[in-house]
Amino acid sequence: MIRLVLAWLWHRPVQVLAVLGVAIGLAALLFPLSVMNGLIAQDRAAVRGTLSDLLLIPAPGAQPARFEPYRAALAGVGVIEACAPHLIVYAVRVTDDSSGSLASTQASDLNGVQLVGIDPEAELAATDFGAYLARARLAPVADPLRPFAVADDVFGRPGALVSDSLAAVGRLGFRVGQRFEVGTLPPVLPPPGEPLEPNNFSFTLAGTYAPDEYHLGMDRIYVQREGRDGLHFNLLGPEAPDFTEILIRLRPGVSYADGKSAVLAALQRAGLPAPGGDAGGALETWEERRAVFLRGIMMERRIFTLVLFFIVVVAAFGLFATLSALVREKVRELGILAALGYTPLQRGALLLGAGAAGSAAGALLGYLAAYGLVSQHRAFEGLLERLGIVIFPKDLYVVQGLPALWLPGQAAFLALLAFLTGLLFTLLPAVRAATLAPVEALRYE
Amino acid sequence: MSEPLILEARDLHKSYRMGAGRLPVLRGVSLQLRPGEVVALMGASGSGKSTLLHLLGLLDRPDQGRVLLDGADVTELGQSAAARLRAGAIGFVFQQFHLLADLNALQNVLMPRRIACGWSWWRRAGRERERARAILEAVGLAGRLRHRPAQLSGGEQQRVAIARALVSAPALLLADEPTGNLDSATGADILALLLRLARQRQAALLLATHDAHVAAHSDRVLQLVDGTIVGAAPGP
Repeated sequence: MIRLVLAWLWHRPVQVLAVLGVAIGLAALLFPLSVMNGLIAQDRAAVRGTLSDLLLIPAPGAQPARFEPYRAALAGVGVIEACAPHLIVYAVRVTDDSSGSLASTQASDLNGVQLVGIDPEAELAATDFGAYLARARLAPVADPLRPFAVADDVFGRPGALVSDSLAAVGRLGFRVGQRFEVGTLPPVLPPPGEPLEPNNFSFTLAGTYAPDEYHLGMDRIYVQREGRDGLHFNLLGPEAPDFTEILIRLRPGVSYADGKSAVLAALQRAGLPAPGGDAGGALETWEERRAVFLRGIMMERRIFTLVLFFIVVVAAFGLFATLSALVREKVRELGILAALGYTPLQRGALLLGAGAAGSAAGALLGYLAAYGLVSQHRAFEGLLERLGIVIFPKDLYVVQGLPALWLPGQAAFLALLAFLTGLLFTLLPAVRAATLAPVEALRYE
Repeated sequence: MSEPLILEARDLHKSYRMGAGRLPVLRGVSLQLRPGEVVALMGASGSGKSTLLHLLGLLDRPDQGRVLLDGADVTELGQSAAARLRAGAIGFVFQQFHLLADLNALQNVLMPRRIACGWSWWRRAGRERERARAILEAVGLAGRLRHRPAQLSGGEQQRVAIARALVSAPALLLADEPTGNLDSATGADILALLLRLARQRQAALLLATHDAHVAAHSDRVLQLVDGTIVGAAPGP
């Protein structure tokens, strides 16, 4: 049977075109999908930003939260590599024309900022903050362990780091050593009816950092968390918590679920309130924190895959057309095979075999072609550029070049799906072959 | 005690749909074949010879009547069971040779063996190839094993078809105008070959023909006229 199937395929060049159709269809699915994988990997990194594996927001208690007992509780947990506290306060930048800017919907998102108090050493250990500092374009800091140091500030105001993008905004024109003022709400709100006094404070720009989040939230201004220059001391006071969340980096290979369990157990051992539930607070992974964005990205990929898979379906239809033609062409031979003793099932299987061979060859070729394109995508990109085709123009896209990422499991699954689709399209010709009346087939001209 | 029958047809009727009505082709045909017997089935074109061969070869079912092969009633066999029976017990030789165009002579002859052997083919392939070579040698095509049908003459193609029909050593051989597409000299050679091999292998041969010269070489002659056997005569 195999010999006959191969002979049928070998002697019909049009079958080769159908096989190539499946191969091209699959390659046309896998290559863009790999580019999308690359973009998604970049997007995930950007969406993650400086978030650690786990984020712990303490359950509110009768007393303001203090980091030290949490640090002590987490210090001995084997699965934790490092943890860093954040003290986050929402603030408004006070500029000369801030009243006018605040009234403007276009400018208000530039004025609203998060003041993030950090412990630099812990931050560098628990997050990718160091990479943010290293990438800074406008005013890189000299020493990442002392990023808030300002050498020539005669007034001794605490240093702060702003993002390159915020520093470069229009007329704000930040430069190192420049003073800027922010206003926050007081740590304890006055009783109803009492006036709300603004809680202003000045910082000096110590440097900039380069975030890779695409404006997922408000701009962040990093400052020292604790100490004489710290956010807690200067803007919030002793009645306020000294941290609002803890970023936890797990050791390599530790699953998020195991990490969560270990953290919860450590909190319980230390007698600290468990976050989550009615008590408030949360213990979440960075993926849960950014779930909305990640779901959006994955949805985009699913839709993209679905749309592109139609190319494979169309290509498989080509296989159906050529196999239908094959049945028509081979009616008499099918009759001869029936006379020689082929059962209807065997006749159907013969056509299915031809379809399977075509589909398998197409899927394999498509897989290899796509793999070749992905592994040589830089050369492919160079070729396009020589032809004057730039896929992601530098002035329009943050992404530079094709960020292709080959996922063997995904590619193999889609190749299998392409093979099965091709096989599905051979069912009808196979049924036709199986149900041919032998006498009619023998008489067929 | 008379020799057992290899094939028996009892009162076979067959008609085909023709517009609103039906066209009767066979109207109560009965015949018997014994092992090693050569019977010529004579009749004009359209007399129902091919239809009768199709019914006896289990390629089609009669509207009425029974077909018994080696004493067993095979009339109601399903398509798959009939196909399996054909693979082992019945050999066909057609007027138009009906070789598989994409396979060479050896592969064509091997095809019934591949079908009959099923999964055991892989164990027996070597022996089966030897068997096919031997029979191709017997029909005079030892030097043409690798030739495809298009590379063979009509007479050579029919020799391949005869080899293919005999390779499984069937008990029953059905030949439908085996010399009809050949010139008279080649036809005579082919006929002689078919008769010789059938007799050598003790296969019952039913030979449909409208050529009296062909019939002259058979043990018995059956005359089919308008779907009925009107006369039976012993051969010369």
